[in-house]
Amino acid sequence: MHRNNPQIPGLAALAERWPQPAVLLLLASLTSAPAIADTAMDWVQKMSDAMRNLSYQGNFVYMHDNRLEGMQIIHYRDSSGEKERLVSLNGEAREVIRDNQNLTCIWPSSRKVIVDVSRKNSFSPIFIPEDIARLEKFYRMELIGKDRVANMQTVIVHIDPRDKYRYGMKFWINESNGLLMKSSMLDEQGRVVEEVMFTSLKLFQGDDRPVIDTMPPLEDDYTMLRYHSGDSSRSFAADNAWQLNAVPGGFWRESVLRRKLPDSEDFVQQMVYTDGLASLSVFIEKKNELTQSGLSTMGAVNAFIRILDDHSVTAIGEVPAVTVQQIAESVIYQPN
Amino acid sequence: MKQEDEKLSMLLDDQVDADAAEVLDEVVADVNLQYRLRRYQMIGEVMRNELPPAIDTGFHQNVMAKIRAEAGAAAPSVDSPSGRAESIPLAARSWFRPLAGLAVAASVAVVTVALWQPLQQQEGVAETLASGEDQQTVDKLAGQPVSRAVTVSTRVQHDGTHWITENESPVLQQKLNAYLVNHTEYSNSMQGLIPQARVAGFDAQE
Repeated sequence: MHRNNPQIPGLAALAERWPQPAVLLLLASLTSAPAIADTAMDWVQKMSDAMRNLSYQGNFVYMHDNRLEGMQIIHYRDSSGEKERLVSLNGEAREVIRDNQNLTCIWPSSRKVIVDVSRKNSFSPIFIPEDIARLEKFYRMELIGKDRVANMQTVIVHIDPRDKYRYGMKFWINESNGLLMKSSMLDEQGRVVEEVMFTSLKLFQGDDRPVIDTMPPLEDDYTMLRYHSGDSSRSFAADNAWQLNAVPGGFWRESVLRRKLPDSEDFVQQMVYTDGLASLSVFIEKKNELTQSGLSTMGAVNAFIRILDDHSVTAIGEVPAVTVQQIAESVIYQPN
Repeated sequence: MKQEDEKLSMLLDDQVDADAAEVLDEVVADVNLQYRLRRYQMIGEVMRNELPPAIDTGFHQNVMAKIRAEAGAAAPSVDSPSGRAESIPLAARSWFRPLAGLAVAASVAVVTVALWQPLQQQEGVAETLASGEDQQTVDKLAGQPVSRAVTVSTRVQHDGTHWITENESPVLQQKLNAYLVNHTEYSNSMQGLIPQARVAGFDAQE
């Protein structure tokens, strides 16, 4: 088949001059190498798969505003699911360990530990063809070049929003294994507002990896501040009367949760919306005397609080201010 | 030193490549380099006229006063030469108590306690840097006047982990923090490690 492939010129001539096994070897290497004709979305798909399925350890820096923070991550997947350990390399070496069941936070200096329920089923979204087609309606995706990150060759994917309701992104994707080596979030003017970049990365093969235990053995002087959350985190049936009537194109409701607030008879409802790349949440709860409406910003994250009768409605997420404001203002209460 | 300066300049100009990876590792492990980087950032902002109209230096002073008043003898390291503040017992921190009672799902409250209480700790580190022996080291390393040292750190802190709101309120800050952690925990967007780093980064100290 490849002998007639017009994209690989000269193969027929090679076959005539070289021994057949050598040609077969060459063809195998060509077909297994990253295809230069892959689209940007192909690379995003590969990245999603790699982030979820590969096991790796690395140091990375997180840059935002005027801050620079170093962290180490270990991530692997086994038969029980994904496991991840994040350690701050600055200041107190606080650890956040997560798997599909537990979320554990450890403060080694203050000798405290908390174990709670993990909410995430996967640490990276799974794209299906329908998702990709939908994303292309709202983002332009293109390969804009190659670069070296942490001494590894990457391809750069630029994701440019087609409207004002989402941020742009740049991904530096490891050319050989698909891992995301560097990512930037770009604001409406194309300025970098947040950036993560690996400075070193090691892949684990087979059983060659450390064991991550979300219940690690700790010395006796540690204090367990909390072990799981009990009834306070239990979900209740959502109040479906809360609706949004003007969601920006491409966003859909991914999940809805309703929980009882600790030490209270009141509830908070969270509705999560995503377009596949960006996401935001809407929180609705009874307002109190201190609740005030308005916009708040921290880095790439915006939040808009709106008072609706005796409730506060807060839209928050890694999207432009106009998006959270429109979402919050579109919330209605519509009982059947 | 000159080579480091060139690489720090690359960082500031968003021209980081693999050659700068080594210096990045050095920066994240060295508070003095971080300090220098931030000073360069501020100089750049001044040259580009990007500074805000006013810098809230009082915020920093108020937080420090509160730490001293409430942590008392339990927080000797706030002013220690080491610049480390983590020896303050968790329970002695005033911001631990209201956060622990946040009216959000328990896991969110838990993580919020973990992630936001160091805000004041970092302010403590900033003041130590600006006033102690470490300041002389920083001064020597940077080779520049340090009269704006506290201001630089304060502004960085204010922008980094502090919500810029229309209605300044500690309760609002805590509420938004809790919402953000909950949002990060439940959402599943394709942003690589940024969401995890954003949450874990709240606890990073300088």
